[in-house]
Amino acid sequence: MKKGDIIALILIAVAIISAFLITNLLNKEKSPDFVEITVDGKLYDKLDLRQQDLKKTIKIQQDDGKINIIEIETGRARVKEANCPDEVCVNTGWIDSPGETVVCLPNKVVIKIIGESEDIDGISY
Amino acid sequence: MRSSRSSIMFILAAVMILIMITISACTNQKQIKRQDFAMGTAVDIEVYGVNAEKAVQKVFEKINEIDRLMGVNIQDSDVSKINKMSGISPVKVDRQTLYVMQKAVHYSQLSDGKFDVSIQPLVELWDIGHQKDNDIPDEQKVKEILGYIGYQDIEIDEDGCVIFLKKRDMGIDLGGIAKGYAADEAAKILKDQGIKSAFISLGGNIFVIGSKSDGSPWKIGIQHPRKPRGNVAAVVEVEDKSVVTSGDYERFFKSGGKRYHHILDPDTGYPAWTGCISATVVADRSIDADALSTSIFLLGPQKGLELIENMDNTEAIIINDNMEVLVSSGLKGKVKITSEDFKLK
Repeated sequence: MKKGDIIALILIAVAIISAFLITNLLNKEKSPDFVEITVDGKLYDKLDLRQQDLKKTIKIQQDDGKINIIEIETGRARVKEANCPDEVCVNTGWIDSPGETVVCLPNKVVIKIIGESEDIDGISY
Repeated sequence: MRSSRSSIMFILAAVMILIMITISACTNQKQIKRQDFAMGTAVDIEVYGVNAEKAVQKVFEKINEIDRLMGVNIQDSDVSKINKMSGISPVKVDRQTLYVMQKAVHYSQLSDGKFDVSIQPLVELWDIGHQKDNDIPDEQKVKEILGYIGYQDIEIDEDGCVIFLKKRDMGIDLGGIAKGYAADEAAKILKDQGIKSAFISLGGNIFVIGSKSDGSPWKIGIQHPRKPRGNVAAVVEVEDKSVVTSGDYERFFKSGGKRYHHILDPDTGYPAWTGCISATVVADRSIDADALSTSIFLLGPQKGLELIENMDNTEAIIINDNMEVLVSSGLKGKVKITSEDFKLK
Protein backbone atom coordinates (compact mmCIF):
# COMPACT_ATOMS: atom_id res chain seq x y z
CA MET A 1 0.00 0.00 0.00
CA LYS A 2 1.24 3.47 -0.84
CA LYS A 3 1.59 6.16 1.75
CA GLY A 4 -1.20 8.16 0.10
CA ASP A 5 -3.59 5.23 0.29
CA ILE A 6 -2.97 4.88 4.00
CA ILE A 7 -3.67 8.58 4.54
CA ALA A 8 -6.82 8.24 2.46
CA LEU A 9 -7.98 5.23 4.48
CA ILE A 10 -7.36 7.04 7.74
CA LEU A 11 -9.30 10.03 6.48
CA ILE A 12 -12.22 7.83 5.43
CA ALA A 13 -12.20 6.10 8.82
CA VAL A 14 -12.16 9.41 10.66
CA ALA A 15 -14.98 10.76 8.48
CA ILE A 16 -17.15 7.68 9.02
CA ILE A 17 -16.55 7.55 12.77
CA SER A 18 -17.26 11.24 13.27
CA ALA A 19 -20.40 11.10 11.11
CA PHE A 20 -21.55 8.09 13.12
CA LEU A 21 -20.85 9.84 16.42
CA ILE A 22 -22.58 13.04 15.38
CA THR A 23 -25.78 11.34 14.20
CA ASN A 24 -25.78 9.12 17.26
CA LEU A 25 -25.33 11.98 19.67
CA LEU A 26 -28.12 13.90 17.97
CA ASN A 27 -30.48 10.94 18.04
CA LYS A 28 -29.77 9.88 21.59
CA GLU A 29 -30.77 13.29 22.89
CA LYS A 30 -34.08 12.48 24.54
CA SER A 31 -34.44 15.33 26.96
CA PRO A 32 -37.58 17.44 26.89
CA ASP A 33 -36.46 20.58 25.13
CA PHE A 34 -39.54 22.48 24.04
CA VAL A 35 -43.22 22.59 24.67
CA GLU A 36 -45.45 23.49 21.78
CA ILE A 37 -48.99 24.72 22.33
CA THR A 38 -51.46 24.69 19.44
CA VAL A 39 -55.01 25.96 19.40
CA ASP A 40 -57.28 24.71 16.63
CA GLY A 41 -54.25 23.46 14.71
CA LYS A 42 -52.40 26.76 14.84
CA LEU A 43 -49.23 27.34 16.82
CA TYR A 44 -50.06 29.39 19.90
CA ASP A 45 -46.79 29.34 21.76
CA LYS A 46 -43.50 27.50 21.92
CA LEU A 47 -41.32 27.59 25.01
CA ASP A 48 -37.85 26.34 25.82
CA LEU A 49 -38.19 23.86 28.69
CA ARG A 50 -34.43 23.86 29.36
CA GLN A 51 -34.63 27.22 31.13
CA GLN A 52 -33.71 27.01 34.78
CA ASP A 53 -36.39 27.81 37.37
CA LEU A 54 -39.03 28.05 34.69
CA LYS A 55 -42.46 28.60 36.14
CA LYS A 56 -45.12 29.99 33.93
CA THR A 57 -48.87 29.92 33.65
CA ILE A 58 -50.53 30.58 30.33
CA LYS A 59 -54.22 31.26 30.11
CA ILE A 60 -55.73 30.49 26.75
CA GLN A 61 -59.09 32.15 26.42
CA GLN A 62 -60.86 31.67 23.12
CA ASP A 63 -63.54 33.94 21.67
CA ASP A 64 -66.29 31.43 22.43
CA GLY A 65 -65.42 31.33 26.13
CA LYS A 66 -63.30 28.17 26.07
CA ILE A 67 -60.57 28.39 28.67
CA ASN A 68 -57.47 26.28 29.33
CA ILE A 69 -54.88 27.20 31.91
CA ILE A 70 -51.52 25.69 31.12
CA GLU A 71 -48.73 25.41 33.63
CA ILE A 72 -45.15 25.10 32.46
CA GLU A 73 -42.08 24.30 34.55
CA THR A 74 -38.52 23.33 33.72
CA GLY A 75 -38.80 20.11 31.70
CA ARG A 76 -42.54 19.61 32.02
CA ALA A 77 -46.00 20.97 31.29
CA ARG A 78 -49.66 20.27 32.06
CA VAL A 79 -53.16 21.60 31.72
CA LYS A 80 -53.94 22.87 35.19
CA GLU A 81 -57.51 23.93 34.68
CA ALA A 82 -60.02 23.85 31.86
CA ASN A 83 -63.70 24.50 31.38
CA CYS A 84 -64.20 21.64 28.93
CA PRO A 85 -66.92 19.12 29.85
CA ASP A 86 -64.75 16.01 30.28
CA GLU A 87 -61.50 17.45 31.73
CA VAL A 88 -59.52 14.63 30.15
CA CYS A 89 -56.77 17.19 29.58
CA VAL A 90 -56.52 18.09 33.26
CA ASN A 91 -56.58 14.44 34.32
CA THR A 92 -53.70 13.61 31.99
CA GLY A 93 -51.43 15.48 34.41
CA TRP A 94 -47.82 16.42 33.82
CA ILE A 95 -46.03 15.40 30.63
CA ASP A 96 -42.25 15.45 30.48
CA SER A 97 -40.81 13.29 27.71
CA PRO A 98 -40.51 14.02 23.99
CA GLY A 99 -43.55 12.95 22.01
CA GLU A 100 -45.96 13.12 24.94
CA THR A 101 -49.07 15.18 24.35
CA VAL A 102 -52.07 16.47 26.21
CA VAL A 103 -55.10 16.89 24.00
CA CYS A 104 -58.16 18.89 24.98
CA LEU A 105 -60.52 17.84 22.22
CA PRO A 106 -63.51 20.01 23.16
CA ASN A 107 -61.36 23.16 23.25
CA LYS A 108 -59.03 22.05 20.43
CA VAL A 109 -55.95 22.72 22.53
CA VAL A 110 -52.89 20.49 22.22
CA ILE A 111 -49.67 20.68 24.19
CA LYS A 112 -46.74 18.61 23.06
CA ILE A 113 -43.24 17.99 24.37
CA ILE A 114 -40.58 18.13 21.71
CA GLY A 115 -37.06 16.71 22.00
CA GLU A 116 -33.99 17.41 19.91
CA SER A 117 -35.03 14.73 17.49
CA GLU A 118 -37.89 12.32 17.42
CA ASP A 119 -37.01 8.89 16.17
CA ILE A 120 -40.52 7.85 15.22
CA ASP A 121 -42.82 9.40 12.63
CA GLY A 122 -46.15 8.86 14.33
CA ILE A 123 -48.02 6.96 17.01
CA SER A 124 -50.92 4.62 16.58
CA TYR A 125 -53.27 4.77 19.57
CA MET B 1 -0.15 6.00 -10.83
CA ARG B 2 -2.10 6.83 -7.71
CA SER B 3 -0.78 9.58 -5.52
CA SER B 4 -2.13 10.57 -2.14
CA ARG B 5 -3.35 13.81 -3.66
CA SER B 6 -5.54 12.14 -6.28
CA SER B 7 -6.94 9.77 -3.65
CA ILE B 8 -7.88 12.67 -1.44
CA MET B 9 -9.40 14.49 -4.37
CA PHE B 10 -11.41 11.41 -5.19
CA ILE B 11 -12.73 11.15 -1.63
CA LEU B 12 -13.53 14.86 -1.53
CA ALA B 13 -15.44 14.56 -4.78
CA ALA B 14 -17.38 11.58 -3.46
CA VAL B 15 -18.25 13.44 -0.25
CA MET B 16 -19.37 16.51 -2.22
CA ILE B 17 -21.61 14.39 -4.43
CA LEU B 18 -23.15 12.73 -1.37
CA ILE B 19 -23.80 16.08 0.26
CA MET B 20 -25.36 17.43 -2.92
CA ILE B 21 -27.63 14.41 -3.25
CA THR B 22 -28.74 14.81 0.36
CA ILE B 23 -29.45 18.51 -0.04
CA SER B 24 -31.35 18.13 -3.30
CA ALA B 25 -33.39 15.27 -1.83
CA CYS B 26 -34.43 17.58 0.98
CA THR B 27 -35.20 20.69 -1.03
CA ASN B 28 -36.94 19.20 -4.06
CA GLN B 29 -39.78 18.04 -1.89
CA LYS B 30 -42.17 20.59 -0.57
CA GLN B 31 -43.45 19.60 2.81
CA ILE B 32 -46.81 20.54 4.23
CA LYS B 33 -47.77 19.76 7.80
CA ARG B 34 -51.24 20.50 9.07
CA GLN B 35 -53.31 19.74 12.11
CA ASP B 36 -57.03 20.16 12.25
CA PHE B 37 -59.91 18.80 14.26
CA ALA B 38 -62.53 16.63 12.60
CA MET B 39 -64.62 13.55 13.44
CA GLY B 40 -64.20 14.39 17.12
CA THR B 41 -60.46 13.96 17.02
CA ALA B 42 -57.17 15.55 16.03
CA VAL B 43 -56.22 15.02 12.40
CA ASP B 44 -52.56 15.35 11.42
CA ILE B 45 -51.39 15.32 7.83
CA GLU B 46 -47.85 15.52 6.54
CA VAL B 47 -47.44 15.62 2.77
CA TYR B 48 -44.38 15.81 0.55
CA GLY B 49 -44.80 16.85 -3.07
CA VAL B 50 -45.57 19.63 -5.47
CA ASN B 51 -49.36 19.69 -5.11
CA ALA B 52 -49.23 19.25 -1.36
CA GLU B 53 -51.13 22.39 -0.34
CA LYS B 54 -54.08 21.81 -2.64
CA ALA B 55 -54.19 18.12 -1.82
CA VAL B 56 -54.32 18.72 1.94
CA GLN B 57 -57.16 21.20 1.50
CA LYS B 58 -59.18 18.61 -0.42
CA VAL B 59 -58.49 15.98 2.22
CA PHE B 60 -59.95 18.11 5.01
CA GLU B 61 -63.04 18.85 2.92
CA LYS B 62 -63.53 15.12 2.40
CA ILE B 63 -63.08 14.24 6.06
CA ASN B 64 -65.66 16.85 7.05
CA GLU B 65 -68.05 15.49 4.44
CA ILE B 66 -67.69 11.97 5.87
CA ASP B 67 -68.26 13.34 9.37
CA ARG B 68 -71.46 15.06 8.24
CA LEU B 69 -72.70 11.73 6.85
CA MET B 70 -71.59 9.37 9.59
CA GLY B 71 -71.28 11.38 12.81
CA VAL B 72 -73.55 9.91 15.47
CA ASN B 73 -73.78 13.27 17.25
CA ILE B 74 -74.60 15.26 14.13
CA GLN B 75 -78.31 15.99 13.92
CA ASP B 76 -79.03 15.29 10.25
CA SER B 77 -76.28 12.79 9.44
CA ASP B 78 -77.26 9.54 7.72
CA VAL B 79 -76.47 7.73 10.95
CA SER B 80 -78.78 9.98 13.01
CA LYS B 81 -81.56 9.57 10.45
CA ILE B 82 -81.19 5.77 10.44
CA ASN B 83 -81.30 5.74 14.26
CA LYS B 84 -84.31 8.06 14.44
CA MET B 85 -86.25 5.89 11.99
CA SER B 86 -85.31 2.55 13.58
CA GLY B 87 -88.30 0.20 13.59
CA ILE B 88 -90.29 2.77 11.59
CA SER B 89 -88.98 3.06 8.08
CA PRO B 90 -85.95 2.52 5.84
CA VAL B 91 -83.75 5.55 5.21
CA LYS B 92 -82.19 6.58 1.94
CA VAL B 93 -78.47 7.18 2.49
CA ASP B 94 -75.36 8.33 0.68
CA ARG B 95 -73.40 5.67 -1.27
CA GLN B 96 -70.48 6.16 1.12
CA THR B 97 -72.60 5.40 4.18
CA LEU B 98 -73.92 2.30 2.43
CA TYR B 99 -70.39 1.12 1.66
CA VAL B 100 -69.21 1.60 5.25
CA MET B 101 -72.32 -0.21 6.56
CA GLN B 102 -71.71 -3.15 4.24
CA LYS B 103 -68.11 -3.35 5.42
CA ALA B 104 -69.28 -3.17 9.04
CA VAL B 105 -71.71 -6.04 8.59
CA HIS B 106 -68.98 -8.03 6.85
CA TYR B 107 -66.75 -7.66 9.90
CA SER B 108 -69.62 -8.53 12.23
CA GLN B 109 -69.94 -11.85 10.41
CA LEU B 110 -66.18 -12.39 10.38
CA SER B 111 -65.86 -11.75 14.13
CA ASP B 112 -68.84 -13.92 15.18
CA GLY B 113 -70.82 -10.82 16.02
CA LYS B 114 -68.20 -9.30 18.32
CA PHE B 115 -67.65 -6.25 16.11
CA ASP B 116 -71.14 -4.81 15.86
CA VAL B 117 -72.10 -1.30 14.76
CA SER B 118 -75.54 -1.74 16.33
CA ILE B 119 -73.79 -1.39 19.72
CA GLN B 120 -74.89 2.28 19.92
CA PRO B 121 -77.61 1.93 22.63
CA LEU B 122 -75.02 0.28 24.87
CA VAL B 123 -72.41 2.96 24.10
CA GLU B 124 -74.98 5.58 25.05
CA LEU B 125 -75.86 3.77 28.29
CA TRP B 126 -72.24 3.47 29.46
CA ASP B 127 -71.19 6.85 28.07
CA ILE B 128 -67.57 6.08 28.94
CA GLY B 129 -65.22 9.02 28.69
CA HIS B 130 -67.99 11.59 28.77
CA GLN B 131 -69.81 11.18 32.05
CA LYS B 132 -68.11 12.63 35.09
CA ASP B 133 -69.46 10.41 37.84
CA ASN B 134 -68.27 7.08 36.33
CA ASP B 135 -71.38 5.11 37.18
CA ILE B 136 -71.63 1.45 36.34
CA PRO B 137 -75.07 1.04 34.80
CA ASP B 138 -77.76 -1.07 36.40
CA GLU B 139 -77.39 -4.76 35.50
CA GLN B 140 -81.04 -5.07 34.57
CA LYS B 141 -80.81 -2.09 32.26
CA VAL B 142 -77.75 -3.61 30.50
CA LYS B 143 -79.68 -6.85 29.94
CA GLU B 144 -82.65 -5.00 28.53
CA ILE B 145 -80.51 -3.06 26.09
CA LEU B 146 -78.73 -6.21 24.91
CA GLY B 147 -82.09 -7.13 23.40
CA TYR B 148 -81.83 -4.37 20.78
CA ILE B 149 -78.30 -5.18 19.77
CA GLY B 150 -77.62 -7.37 16.78
CA TYR B 151 -76.26 -6.70 13.32
CA GLN B 152 -78.63 -9.38 11.96
CA ASP B 153 -81.44 -6.85 12.31
CA ILE B 154 -79.78 -4.36 9.99
CA GLU B 155 -81.33 -4.42 6.54
CA ILE B 156 -79.23 -3.08 3.69
CA ASP B 157 -80.74 -2.62 0.23
CA GLU B 158 -77.80 -1.96 -2.06
CA ASP B 159 -79.77 -1.12 -5.22
CA GLY B 160 -82.09 1.32 -3.48
CA CYS B 161 -79.25 2.65 -1.30
CA VAL B 162 -81.46 2.24 1.71
CA ILE B 163 -80.79 1.11 5.28
CA PHE B 164 -83.33 -0.06 7.85
CA LEU B 165 -82.95 -1.05 11.49
CA LYS B 166 -85.73 -3.56 12.17
CA LYS B 167 -86.21 -2.97 15.90
CA ARG B 168 -87.51 0.29 17.34
CA ASP B 169 -84.83 0.93 19.95
CA MET B 170 -81.91 -0.06 17.77
CA GLY B 171 -79.13 2.34 16.88
CA ILE B 172 -75.85 2.31 15.02
CA ASP B 173 -72.52 3.95 15.75
CA LEU B 174 -69.84 3.93 13.06
CA GLY B 175 -67.16 5.14 15.50
CA GLY B 176 -65.26 1.87 15.10
CA ILE B 177 -64.97 2.07 11.33
CA ALA B 178 -65.71 5.54 9.88
CA LYS B 179 -62.28 6.95 10.73
CA GLY B 180 -60.73 4.09 8.82
CA TYR B 181 -62.89 4.86 5.81
CA ALA B 182 -61.96 8.55 6.05
CA ALA B 183 -58.24 7.70 6.17
CA ASP B 184 -58.62 5.59 3.01
CA GLU B 185 -60.43 8.40 1.22
CA ALA B 186 -57.77 10.87 2.36
CA ALA B 187 -55.04 8.63 0.96
CA LYS B 188 -56.96 8.25 -2.30
CA ILE B 189 -57.19 12.01 -2.73
CA LEU B 190 -53.49 12.49 -2.03
CA LYS B 191 -52.52 9.76 -4.50
CA ASP B 192 -54.81 11.24 -7.17
CA GLN B 193 -52.95 14.52 -6.72
CA GLY B 194 -49.72 12.73 -7.50
CA ILE B 195 -48.45 12.61 -3.92
CA LYS B 196 -45.89 9.85 -3.42
CA SER B 197 -45.10 10.37 0.24
CA ALA B 198 -47.52 11.26 3.02
CA PHE B 199 -48.46 10.55 6.63
CA ILE B 200 -52.06 10.74 7.80
CA SER B 201 -53.24 10.35 11.39
CA LEU B 202 -56.94 10.50 12.18
CA GLY B 203 -56.89 10.38 15.95
CA GLY B 204 -54.26 7.65 15.97
CA ASN B 205 -55.60 5.82 12.91
CA ILE B 206 -52.54 5.96 10.72
CA PHE B 207 -52.15 5.70 6.96
CA VAL B 208 -48.82 6.17 5.23
CA ILE B 209 -48.33 6.63 1.52
CA GLY B 210 -45.08 5.38 0.04
CA SER B 211 -41.92 5.73 2.08
CA LYS B 212 -40.51 8.82 3.78
CA SER B 213 -39.07 11.54 1.56
CA ASP B 214 -35.58 10.13 2.16
CA GLY B 215 -36.72 6.72 0.93
CA SER B 216 -36.69 4.98 4.32
CA PRO B 217 -39.83 3.31 5.69
CA TRP B 218 -42.11 5.16 8.11
CA LYS B 219 -41.52 4.29 11.75
CA ILE B 220 -44.82 3.99 13.54
CA GLY B 221 -44.91 3.70 17.30
CA ILE B 222 -47.55 1.68 19.12
CA GLN B 223 -48.88 3.62 22.10
CA HIS B 224 -47.71 2.28 25.50
CA PRO B 225 -51.04 1.10 26.96
CA ARG B 226 -50.18 2.10 30.54
CA LYS B 227 -48.36 5.40 30.04
CA PRO B 228 -49.49 8.85 28.88
CA ARG B 229 -50.11 9.51 25.22
CA GLY B 230 -46.85 9.75 23.29
CA ASN B 231 -45.02 6.94 25.07
CA VAL B 232 -44.29 4.02 22.83
CA ALA B 233 -44.33 0.28 23.55
CA ALA B 234 -43.05 -0.92 20.19
CA VAL B 235 -42.15 0.35 16.75
CA VAL B 236 -43.07 -1.10 13.38
CA GLU B 237 -41.69 0.02 10.03
CA VAL B 238 -44.19 0.30 7.18
CA GLU B 239 -44.71 1.60 3.65
CA ASP B 240 -48.08 2.09 1.95
CA LYS B 241 -49.97 0.70 4.92
CA SER B 242 -52.52 1.63 7.51
CA VAL B 243 -51.79 1.04 11.19
CA VAL B 244 -54.71 1.17 13.62
CA THR B 245 -54.72 0.40 17.34
CA SER B 246 -57.60 -0.31 19.71
CA GLY B 247 -56.87 -0.25 23.41
CA ASP B 248 -58.47 -0.21 26.84
CA TYR B 249 -56.60 2.99 27.76
CA GLU B 250 -58.20 5.56 25.49
CA ARG B 251 -61.41 6.16 27.39
CA PHE B 252 -62.01 4.40 30.68
CA PHE B 253 -62.69 4.71 34.36
CA LYS B 254 -61.64 2.50 37.24
CA SER B 255 -63.99 1.08 39.80
CA GLY B 256 -63.44 -1.73 42.30
CA GLY B 257 -60.05 -2.53 40.79
CA LYS B 258 -61.60 -3.02 37.36
CA ARG B 259 -60.95 -0.97 34.26
CA TYR B 260 -64.19 0.02 32.58
CA HIS B 261 -63.09 0.94 29.07
CA HIS B 262 -64.92 1.97 25.91
CA ILE B 263 -64.71 -1.26 23.89
CA LEU B 264 -67.96 -2.95 24.79
CA ASP B 265 -68.75 -6.61 24.24
CA PRO B 266 -72.14 -7.02 22.51
CA ASP B 267 -72.59 -10.46 24.11
CA THR B 268 -72.16 -9.42 27.75
CA GLY B 269 -73.02 -5.72 27.60
CA TYR B 270 -69.84 -4.95 29.60
CA PRO B 271 -66.37 -3.74 28.57
CA ALA B 272 -64.48 -6.57 26.87
CA TRP B 273 -62.07 -8.18 29.33
CA THR B 274 -60.43 -10.64 27.00
CA GLY B 275 -56.81 -10.49 28.13
CA CYS B 276 -56.09 -7.99 25.38
CA ILE B 277 -55.06 -4.49 26.40
CA SER B 278 -53.96 -3.25 22.98
CA ALA B 279 -54.59 -4.59 19.49
CA THR B 280 -52.90 -3.14 16.42
CA VAL B 281 -53.66 -4.13 12.84
CA VAL B 282 -51.45 -3.35 9.86
CA ALA B 283 -53.32 -3.60 6.55
CA ASP B 284 -53.50 -2.14 3.05
CA ARG B 285 -56.71 -0.32 3.84
CA SER B 286 -57.55 1.61 6.96
CA ILE B 287 -61.22 0.62 6.98
CA ASP B 288 -60.11 -3.00 7.37
CA ALA B 289 -57.43 -2.17 9.95
CA ASP B 290 -59.94 -0.10 11.96
CA ALA B 291 -62.67 -2.74 12.08
CA LEU B 292 -60.17 -5.56 12.63
CA SER B 293 -58.30 -3.92 15.50
CA THR B 294 -61.58 -3.61 17.41
CA SER B 295 -62.57 -7.14 16.34
CA ILE B 296 -59.39 -8.79 17.61
CA PHE B 297 -59.50 -6.78 20.82
CA LEU B 298 -62.99 -8.21 21.39
CA LEU B 299 -62.03 -11.74 20.36
CA GLY B 300 -58.98 -11.79 22.64
CA PRO B 301 -55.32 -12.51 21.85
CA GLN B 302 -55.70 -16.16 20.82
CA LYS B 303 -58.78 -16.02 18.59
CA GLY B 304 -57.81 -12.58 17.33
CA LEU B 305 -54.45 -13.77 16.11
CA GLU B 306 -56.06 -16.79 14.44
CA LEU B 307 -58.42 -14.50 12.54
CA ILE B 308 -55.52 -12.38 11.30
CA GLU B 309 -53.41 -15.37 10.26
CA ASN B 310 -56.19 -16.43 7.92
CA MET B 311 -56.15 -13.12 6.06
CA ASP B 312 -53.82 -11.99 3.27
CA ASN B 313 -51.66 -8.88 3.65
CA THR B 314 -53.01 -8.29 7.13
CA GLU B 315 -50.87 -8.40 10.26
CA ALA B 316 -51.36 -7.75 13.95
CA ILE B 317 -49.48 -6.73 17.08
CA ILE B 318 -51.29 -7.64 20.28
CA ILE B 319 -50.36 -6.73 23.85
CA ASN B 320 -51.88 -9.00 26.48
CA ASP B 321 -52.45 -8.27 30.16
CA ASN B 322 -49.18 -10.02 31.08
CA MET B 323 -47.45 -7.24 29.12
CA GLU B 324 -46.41 -9.72 26.43
CA VAL B 325 -46.35 -8.66 22.81
CA LEU B 326 -47.75 -11.16 20.31
CA VAL B 327 -46.96 -10.64 16.65
CA SER B 328 -48.56 -12.29 13.60
CA SER B 329 -46.33 -14.37 11.32
CA GLY B 330 -45.87 -11.70 8.63
CA LEU B 331 -44.43 -9.22 11.14
CA LYS B 332 -42.04 -11.61 12.91
CA GLY B 333 -38.70 -9.86 13.26
CA LYS B 334 -40.14 -6.54 12.08
CA VAL B 335 -41.49 -5.24 15.37
CA LYS B 336 -39.06 -3.62 17.76
CA ILE B 337 -40.00 -3.46 21.43
CA THR B 338 -38.84 -0.09 22.72
CA SER B 339 -40.09 -0.19 26.30
CA GLU B 340 -38.67 -2.37 29.07
CA ASP B 341 -42.19 -2.97 30.32
CA PHE B 342 -42.88 -5.46 27.53
CA LYS B 343 -41.37 -8.63 26.15
CA LEU B 344 -41.94 -10.39 22.87
CA LYS B 345 -43.79 -13.67 23.15
